Amino acid sequence: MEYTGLIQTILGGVGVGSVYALLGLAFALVFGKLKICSYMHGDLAILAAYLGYFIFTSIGLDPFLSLIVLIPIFFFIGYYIQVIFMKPFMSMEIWQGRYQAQIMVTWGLGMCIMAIEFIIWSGTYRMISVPYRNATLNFSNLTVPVVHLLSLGALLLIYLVLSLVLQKTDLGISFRACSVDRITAMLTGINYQKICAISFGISSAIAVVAGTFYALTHQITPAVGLELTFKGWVAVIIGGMGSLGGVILAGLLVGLVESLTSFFWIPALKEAVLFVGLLLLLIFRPGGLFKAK
Amino acid sequence: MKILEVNQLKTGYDPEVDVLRGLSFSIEEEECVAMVGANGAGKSTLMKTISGILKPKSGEIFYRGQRIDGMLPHEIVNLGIVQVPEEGGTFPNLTIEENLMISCRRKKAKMERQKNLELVYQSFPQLLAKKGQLAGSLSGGQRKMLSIGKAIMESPEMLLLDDISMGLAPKVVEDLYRMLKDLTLKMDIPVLIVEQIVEIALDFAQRGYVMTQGEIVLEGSSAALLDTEAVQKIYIGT
Amino acid sequence: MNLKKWVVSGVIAFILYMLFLRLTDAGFIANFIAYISLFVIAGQGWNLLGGYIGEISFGHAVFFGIGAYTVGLPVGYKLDINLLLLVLLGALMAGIFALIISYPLLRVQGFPFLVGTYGLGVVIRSIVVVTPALFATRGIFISTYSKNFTYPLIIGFAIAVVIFVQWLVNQDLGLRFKAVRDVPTAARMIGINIYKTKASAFVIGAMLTGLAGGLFALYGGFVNPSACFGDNTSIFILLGPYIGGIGSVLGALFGSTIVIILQEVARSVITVNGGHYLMVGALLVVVMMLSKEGIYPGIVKLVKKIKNAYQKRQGE
Repeated sequence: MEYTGLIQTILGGVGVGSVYALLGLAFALVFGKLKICSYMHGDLAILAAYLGYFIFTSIGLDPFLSLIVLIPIFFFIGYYIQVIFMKPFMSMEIWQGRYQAQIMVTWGLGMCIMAIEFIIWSGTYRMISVPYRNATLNFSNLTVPVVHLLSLGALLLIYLVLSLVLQKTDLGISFRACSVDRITAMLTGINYQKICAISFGISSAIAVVAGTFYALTHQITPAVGLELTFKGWVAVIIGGMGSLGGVILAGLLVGLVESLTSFFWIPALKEAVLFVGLLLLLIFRPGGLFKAK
Repeated sequence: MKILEVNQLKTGYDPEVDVLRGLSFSIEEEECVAMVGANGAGKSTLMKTISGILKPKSGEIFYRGQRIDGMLPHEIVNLGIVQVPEEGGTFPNLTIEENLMISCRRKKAKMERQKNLELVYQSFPQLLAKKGQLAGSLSGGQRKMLSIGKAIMESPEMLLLDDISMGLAPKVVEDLYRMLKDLTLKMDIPVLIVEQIVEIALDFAQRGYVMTQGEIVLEGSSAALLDTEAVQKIYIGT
Repeated sequence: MNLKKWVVSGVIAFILYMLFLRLTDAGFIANFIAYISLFVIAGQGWNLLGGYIGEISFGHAVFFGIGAYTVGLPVGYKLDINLLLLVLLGALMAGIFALIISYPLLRVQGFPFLVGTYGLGVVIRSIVVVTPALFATRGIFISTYSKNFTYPLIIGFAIAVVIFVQWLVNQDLGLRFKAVRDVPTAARMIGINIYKTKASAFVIGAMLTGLAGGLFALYGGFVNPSACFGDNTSIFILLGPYIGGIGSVLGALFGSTIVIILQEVARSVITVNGGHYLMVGALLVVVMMLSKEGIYPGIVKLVKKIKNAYQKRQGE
């Protein structure tokens, strides 16, 4: 029976990890390629989770159905955040403190989002109690939560679509062009700021999906936003700064480390173990575990 | 009709220091004009300002009567002013074909895509042979060719060439300019050329301006300029 | 010399504060000034690394907490040690811990460093929370000195720390900090050991933050994980210098003051728990959009600009 428990834990870890992986993906997309550093996607995710909760409790719409509305809304929110708040920093070089400035602005915005959530929904833990929240699929004596399967599926789907878009479409090629040489991209006639804004929009839309799945597996409270942001960044660092595949593996790993710590040791230490692991990684492989060549 | 007209242009990277100090010149229809000057005269700064990478502090730039200073780089490209930059110019992480295709952004360019592509591959057969490879694998000369090819794919209505010779062997430079001459004759568009090697630039262009410390000190036909003291000085200087 | 001016202003400020304390009975304001001073000290410590080296730390609460717990733990175990000695020991402990932890952390730059320091905060807090020997979540009460002694002590330390940092950044070491931040390659070429320079800023900064933590234990008479090691503490330590003007002693001083005052104002305006972050976040965004370097350098720049324009007009 102990054996089944372990497998159960691993499955749970992968399920939770897919939320971190999604957030990591959102960060890696704008950071790894366009050098835009965001510290607000965790808060965006939680905001989406709250909106999903609000829609579910007020009109009873399923969170997955509300995604159809929320994804475009958050795409535009992200688009205009980039246009209004991030644009002034896009011409800064890294040594001029570009990342610091971007971190501070996005973090400030994230703080505002968190505060608004506190004001509207208070700090009480909320839960979206959809009927399938605790539904499971049974394979012999293993029970797999349906929500975890769905989130893993969504993660893979988003990754595939993203890779396909990056490889094949005009938008993707422009995006890759902007990622290596901003000036040449402009001289080629690519609207650099627009590409950045669209990317930020897409990454915000990914955060919505992450937030929805988080709300379906956890109870939500506003302060979780910053925590999710950091978990997402841990995935990016472990994954080797911007390789999308590496970030996904790293995100799943983060989830695994947390669930295994809870299983074998004390749940309160799961984050401590994760960050000790991160510090060790910084000593032995500062470039990340799955560094892109 | 004046294609490009620059009036009292002032630009600089620092708020206190002007690199271009009130520069004025113009380019006529179907004319090839060279801008020569010693290192640090502000030639590349001028190119960057025309293509919108740098915002001018004061002064005006007109293209076919339309004011373009203050417009964004991609809007200027959309008008048909296409620059082959001094550095970069290609995307090393894209294949040669992708590099060329991504440059087809204007409506006109999209219509003429096939024709332009043939023209590029015909002018630079080396690119055709490697079209599936990443641009990062090309040699310096081939990269310049690709950079020029990208400009052609935009169906330019005016071409800005910024220091094509930079970092290339003399033989390669000579070949490149021969091909460019053919190309520009075929395309029949005005060209503004900036070049370290004065001789090549004045040989390529019909008319020239001499720039010193952000100002134009001399203008005239290429042949006349070649004999002047100012040009001789640059010649010795570089 | 410039430093003399600082010392004189510091002494005057201290005397004024003492007069204020004697002549009025404004317990609330005195209390508030002492609270601000704690964050001024901690912020100056953060600024050495964040401003002068350019590495943002999101986990300075760790050093704050080590300082506080060095005072609290012996009290919790009923050891009779002089509290002031413990405060100084706390600063030392924070410094030693920074020295050890700088080995993995300073190998990375930018936000791996940021995330790493945040992680460090989480690790230490979790350890304290689950360890009964460290009094877990219960915390420790400290029977501290009377307010008539602790308040002037804290103010005195704050003034001394500000002067010390101002002195330090104009020393050889302080100039090396700036060299490492602005021109790392050139700094390496003239023989500056980048790691050592960063580590010394980190350690000295951590000691100052630890000092603030120790004084906090005296000030509040209470230590617990969330007050000492909490994210909130890290956030307000770093926000002060960032909003005021990183890499500037006066900027950090103003910033810490503004942020703590704003926080309290926001708490009284928006009474919902957590709602005060709205004002803090908005201030951060507005400051960053208006002046990338923070309020103080922004104002200095503006004044210079106006002066220049005025002189130009006079010249004409």
